[in-house]
Amino acid sequence: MLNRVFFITISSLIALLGLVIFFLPTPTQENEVFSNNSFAVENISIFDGYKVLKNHSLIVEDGIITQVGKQIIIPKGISTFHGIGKTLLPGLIDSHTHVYGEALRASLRFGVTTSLDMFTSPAMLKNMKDKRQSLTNTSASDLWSAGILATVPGGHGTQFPVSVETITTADEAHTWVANRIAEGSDYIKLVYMPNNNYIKSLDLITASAIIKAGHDQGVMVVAHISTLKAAQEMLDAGIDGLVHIFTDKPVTERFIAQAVKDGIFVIPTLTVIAAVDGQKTGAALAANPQVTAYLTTLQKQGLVTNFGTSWPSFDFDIGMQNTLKLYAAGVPILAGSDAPNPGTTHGASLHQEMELLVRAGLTPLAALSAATAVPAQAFGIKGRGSIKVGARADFITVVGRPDVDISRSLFIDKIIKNGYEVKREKPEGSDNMVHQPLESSLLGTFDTDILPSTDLAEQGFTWEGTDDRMANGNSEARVYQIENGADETGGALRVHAKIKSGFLFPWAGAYFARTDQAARNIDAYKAISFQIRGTPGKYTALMFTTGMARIPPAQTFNVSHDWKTITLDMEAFSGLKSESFVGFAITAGPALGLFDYDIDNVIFRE
Amino acid sequence: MKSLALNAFFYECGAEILKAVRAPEYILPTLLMPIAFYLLFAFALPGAGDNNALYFLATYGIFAVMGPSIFGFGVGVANERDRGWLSIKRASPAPAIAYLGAKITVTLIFASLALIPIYLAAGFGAGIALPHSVWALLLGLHLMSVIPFILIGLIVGFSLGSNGAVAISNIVFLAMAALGGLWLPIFLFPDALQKISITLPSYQLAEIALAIVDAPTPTDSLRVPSENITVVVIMTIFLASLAYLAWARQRN
Amino acid sequence: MSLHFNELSQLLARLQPRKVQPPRKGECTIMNSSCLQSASPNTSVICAQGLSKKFDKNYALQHIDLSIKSGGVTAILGANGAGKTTFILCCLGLRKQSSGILTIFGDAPGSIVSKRRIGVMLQDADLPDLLTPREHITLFASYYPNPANIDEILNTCKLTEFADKKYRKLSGGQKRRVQFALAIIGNPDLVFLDEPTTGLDTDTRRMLWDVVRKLAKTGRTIILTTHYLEEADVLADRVVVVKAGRIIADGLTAEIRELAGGGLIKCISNISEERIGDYPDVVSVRQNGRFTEINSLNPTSTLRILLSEDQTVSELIVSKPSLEEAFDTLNNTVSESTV
Repeated sequence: MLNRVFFITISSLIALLGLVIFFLPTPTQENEVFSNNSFAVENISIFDGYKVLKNHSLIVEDGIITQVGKQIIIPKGISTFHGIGKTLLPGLIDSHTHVYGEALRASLRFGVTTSLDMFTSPAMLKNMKDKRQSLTNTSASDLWSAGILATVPGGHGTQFPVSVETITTADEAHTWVANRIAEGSDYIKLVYMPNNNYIKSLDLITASAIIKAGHDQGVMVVAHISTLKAAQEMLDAGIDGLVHIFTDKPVTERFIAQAVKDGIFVIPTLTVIAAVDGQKTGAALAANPQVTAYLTTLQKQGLVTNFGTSWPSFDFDIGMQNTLKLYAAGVPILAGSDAPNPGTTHGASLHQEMELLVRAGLTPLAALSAATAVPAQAFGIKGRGSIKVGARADFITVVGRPDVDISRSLFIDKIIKNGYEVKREKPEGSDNMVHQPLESSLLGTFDTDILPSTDLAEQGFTWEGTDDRMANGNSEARVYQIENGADETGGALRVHAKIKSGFLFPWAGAYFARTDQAARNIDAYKAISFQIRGTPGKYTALMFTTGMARIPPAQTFNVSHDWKTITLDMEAFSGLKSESFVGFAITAGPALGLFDYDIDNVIFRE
Repeated sequence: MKSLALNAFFYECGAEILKAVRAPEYILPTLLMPIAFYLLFAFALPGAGDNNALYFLATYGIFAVMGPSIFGFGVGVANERDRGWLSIKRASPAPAIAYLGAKITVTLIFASLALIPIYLAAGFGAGIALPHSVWALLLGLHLMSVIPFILIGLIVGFSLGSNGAVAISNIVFLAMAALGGLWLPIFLFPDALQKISITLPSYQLAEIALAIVDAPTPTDSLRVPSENITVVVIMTIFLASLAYLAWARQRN
Repeated sequence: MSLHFNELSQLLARLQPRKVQPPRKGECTIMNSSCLQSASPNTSVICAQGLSKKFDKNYALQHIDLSIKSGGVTAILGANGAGKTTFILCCLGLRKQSSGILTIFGDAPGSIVSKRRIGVMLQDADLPDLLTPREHITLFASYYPNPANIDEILNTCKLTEFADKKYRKLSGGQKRRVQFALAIIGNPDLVFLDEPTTGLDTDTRRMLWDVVRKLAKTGRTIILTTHYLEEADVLADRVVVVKAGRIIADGLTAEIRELAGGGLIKCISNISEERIGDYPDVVSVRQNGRFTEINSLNPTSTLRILLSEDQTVSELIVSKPSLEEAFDTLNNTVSESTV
């Protein structure tokens, strides 16, 4: 009797609780919402690019935002998710990045839906404009790019494995700019670092000519500077924006007044300045639990890497103070990461840039604007960076209130690109070291050009010059194709190397690798062989692998004026991780002097 | 003889349920007050809406289970002790575990009944959508929250006569609710009061609940539920020791 | 009253007299305890040795030595505050003794094994209002391994008629019946009834007495506290008289009755009071109107002498004193002598 009272009560209650839990609303299933690019978001705080609209709702139809408001009627049958406790932000815009390889995918994994590149290989610009017009489902952010930058031979920008069309005189400016526009550049970036003892630079006349040529041909011109003086000169020359804050001296009243009047914008890139100034911000970011799960091993390595030396006139504090003063005066401040420089990475570093902007003194709201509406306006990009009717459905939802606590921008709930949800999965196999085998054993015959064999060239492998300027040395290398290779057939790769003192172990030579440094497995090979002739002396062959923190495995050999075949056993590259091969180099040095040498028929042997 | 204790437990539960159901004038207020307050704060009052419904779902759930726990045990036990009923129970072979277990079970039953309307109002009224697992976890936490309050009720019930127990239970109940930030977030309080708040199990439990639903923090700080859980466990052990002492004092 | 304490002491000596002593300081009664040694089911159901219970500075029980064997009805008789209830609460494990030894079925009081063999009706304990007698009894039955049939118990306790009425709505006597039913639902070997009939209507009292007698017949042990002498007189086989926490008398009901004077001879006689007072065994003589009342320890021999000396004796009545008279006598005697 009494026990039946209990059993009946408890079983009905448990059933009731089960039913209640079962029927209580749940966030609408992901694939339901995002199998198509039309859906609604209800009751969410919307940051529209400038301010937060609380308890708003929004409707996306075919990848475009069609309604935003407090009391909108959500059509029946449309998938809906509730955003209570969350904030919706426009897709982020990284105003200073360098794009290659996985960069655009890595960016989108952190909600960066638009990347403004400030120097990359023109090859990356292919299909760029078509892609950013479309509303298809994509896993990569959209690209705007400067293409290659304007610099002098040996100037900043020539140290990378990208061939750069340099410019030395004002007369060339018009053609140079036209070439860029033809290649697809959206705007022009020039490097102006005069009075620098170490790096050559455009002079003021040439730089001014480029600015004028850009404006004449209807494109914006932005400048890489590092000092107040250079910044002031660019301002005087009519520049549209600066892609770094200067960190040598506090900003002057004159500069501020003129910047406001001329309406220029500044992309401080505090993240990279902090890295140069040894702030270890990259390592902190890599350790952030909201970040680390979405980074590849390569990205983590990039974040913990230092610039090595602390450079003079890179004072992070001055950089922050200048940023705040310019912001306070009304100069538009844009968030840019300058990834993938050491200490930065695509995507995640833009969130850190916002955090550093807040540390500099901007409000969290202003930092959010700097990564959304402000760059969209500064670069004239329509339909992005803000949440309004007609805008592209590029946005992210985060848990909490980033407008109060900027670190909440990393508590990403969903990323929507073109109205589709983006899976935040990093590329498969990026963490473990299982890489696919190298596509071909034939690294180069150089019969018609300096590209490797077709199979490798299609994968993005190239032969480039490499020298110790990347380690602050002064050596220089130039590579090009010559006719008549070994055995008087086809062609060969000519290396023109100047070994100069500056770096402890100076080097210059030719480097084979993929542009994004992706790794390959060369386990199958027992040796590498090549033919070589040139300035007699001792040369070095080096193998590069992922995650290197030491001098790469190397072997030396002697070269004479006559062709000879060199075969190097893989085993003799002591410590080589053959399962994660990244690149191969043949260099002259460390003996100083001029070395001209030719390489032919570089082949891995089984 | 284990089955005997289990059987006795079922009978005790049945008896407790009948007793409660036959005195609706005692049980209804504890069931209706939480939902009434929730509707008032989360829907009716100015400033309601926005993200508050989610916040209040977490805190009013704690509030809902406090009533049956503190009053059921504090007043109920004191009353039965006054009447000498507890002496008969203790002289009989009634397993103490069956008696306590039945009281806890009935408390859980009424705590559930107090929670359901709040969940329904939050889900269907305020449009709060949470994954099933989060709803279930929240329900689990809200029900688990009865433990410290039951212990408080036992301490009151064992230490005081029924009149004293009613008075003290009311004071404890109101203090736990108001100072614990169950009605309004404690950041609205003066600093001194906030310091008191964090010493209350109601506050700590509410913080865990808020972390479960991931309600927005009113201030910049992030929630660290592991800390709240640790504090609650320590508080519970302390309260359990006090309750044991209060019980042991009976037999002298 | 002319009974002297000396004489009473002689009588007590015949009835396994007890020496009532306050517990000595530091006394160790655990060792050598007859309670522990004799802890076998056939001997004592309850065994107390040197049992004392102190509340603050007052002794509620003082050095009680008592052994109750299985079977029969034992009445613990005493005025209010004599320590009867305290003794029972100690037996139930609800109070812990201050010193001394107490075992129930050879086990410590309050052990689950002993509780399963015990039924209890406490003096001022009330049951929850909102359950019915049937529910109360069903619930209690679930505590015991071999409970009695619920309907039978309802019938036995004359509760069938209002078995499904809320406890709150029952009369005082009906409520006591429910409490009594709870005491016997578990088929207990030992039943404690603390003042069971205080304030009861005669119907209920008679019912209760009937049931107690029946239980006793089936070999159960019943411990009954009461200040109704009549109750002890009609029910008990053995009476333990307590006063101020001590046992002042303990014996079969008849013995206790005798204790207070062997018998009362009431007659009309012309022998003088003084003469009769000199007879052996005569405790007291008094003239009550025409009647002479002789209190004798041995009424038979007294009567023999009286009849041999006086042939005119008429309207002769010989009676045993009621327990009430005995109780009064004992109570007064001990209090006089101890003061």
